[in-house]
Amino acid sequence: MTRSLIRLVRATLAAFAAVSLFPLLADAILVAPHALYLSDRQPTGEIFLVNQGGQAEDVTIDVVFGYPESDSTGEMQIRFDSTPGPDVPSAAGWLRAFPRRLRVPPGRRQAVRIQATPPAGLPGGEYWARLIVTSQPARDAALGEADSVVRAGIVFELRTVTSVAFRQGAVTTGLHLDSASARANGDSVVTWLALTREGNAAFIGSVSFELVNGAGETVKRWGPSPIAVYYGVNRRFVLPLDAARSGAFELRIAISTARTDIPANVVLPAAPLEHRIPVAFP
Amino acid sequence: MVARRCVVTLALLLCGQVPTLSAQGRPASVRGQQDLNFGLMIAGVPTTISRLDAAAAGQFELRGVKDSPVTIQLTLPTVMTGPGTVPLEFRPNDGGHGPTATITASQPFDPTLPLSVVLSSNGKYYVFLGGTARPAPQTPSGTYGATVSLTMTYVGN
Repeated sequence: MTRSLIRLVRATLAAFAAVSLFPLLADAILVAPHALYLSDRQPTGEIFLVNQGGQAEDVTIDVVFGYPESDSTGEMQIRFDSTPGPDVPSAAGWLRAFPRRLRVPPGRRQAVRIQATPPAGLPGGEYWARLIVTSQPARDAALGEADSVVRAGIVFELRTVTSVAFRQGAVTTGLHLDSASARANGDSVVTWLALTREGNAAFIGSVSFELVNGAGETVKRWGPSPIAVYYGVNRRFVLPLDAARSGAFELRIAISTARTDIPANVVLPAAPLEHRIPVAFP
Repeated sequence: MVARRCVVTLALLLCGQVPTLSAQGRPASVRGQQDLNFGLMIAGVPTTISRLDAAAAGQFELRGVKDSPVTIQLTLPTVMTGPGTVPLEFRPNDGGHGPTATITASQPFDPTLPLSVVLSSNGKYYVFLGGTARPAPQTPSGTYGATVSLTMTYVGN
């Protein structure tokens, strides 16, 4: 019986030791910016890793070809391809991160250089990749020091995926609206937009919606929401209503290159796109 | 016969932040708010933590540019390891997500599948995680742990 009690006490202590790790791990690595743009004139850039946690973090950086696309439900996802063929604009093979592995002490910020070494004779256009930044508490820190009872052995890992684009020569972008539809669906308006990119660079911008009544008054606005079109997308937007509607309305759609989260000097200009769709509420 | 007990603690704490530079808008982040904790368990007795359990479910807060589309992918372990192993099970409704921190208002999702969401108008979003631990009757006493990965991807650029 005594042996059983000892086991229980040890177990309880171990549980406490494990749970008490939590405050030390409340934060981890920040990665900035979430979109990096390089060019033949500026082939090197930096991302910053900031450790806001209370212990060291081990970080690795991988470069993989990938771009956003829509799936059959209209949701966005990233299509990754670790072995891209020659017919896709991948920069993954010639982008390097220095250092690729590093340890960031608590409370410190460290820069990682991203360098592009494109092959000679690279045709003009935009080339893409994704940075995968993986962080987890440094092994020795994760195990802790005072583990005379039982090791917690808990390891946490976070992956952050950001974008990198390399622009060679003149690049342009634009957007073509292939089709659009909208219908009332209970407490929301479900909208589908089929868009095709023009030019030789991804369209990075935002989309906004307005619901306008028969008197021309805007009764509801949505957005702006970020939108990216690398080839083509068929996006579904569920626009929630804040009040019951009935009668005839019009949904006004506006897409532009306006972005607040990306520096204006790297956002490629393009003609804005506007479209109107009648929406009937029963 | 001495009753065997084991402590099975899984702290599925996913923490970290994904910012933009401050000059480029609001930093994006994903932060562990609370670990998924199975607490003290008895060998041979499964323990299930509901995704709606405010005290024990894993809870994560995502922050970023408002109305931004992001994808979330959890990579979940099948066992916890320690002096032995403890199998883990994550069912299709063990994930929860929503635009508010109110866990009871969250919508279920399968945590083994990618999740596409749009950050709310205040730039926040919340993910919750439950699960089941099934320690075998012969599970040795001790503390068990596992590695969990959370990938947050901006798909708006």
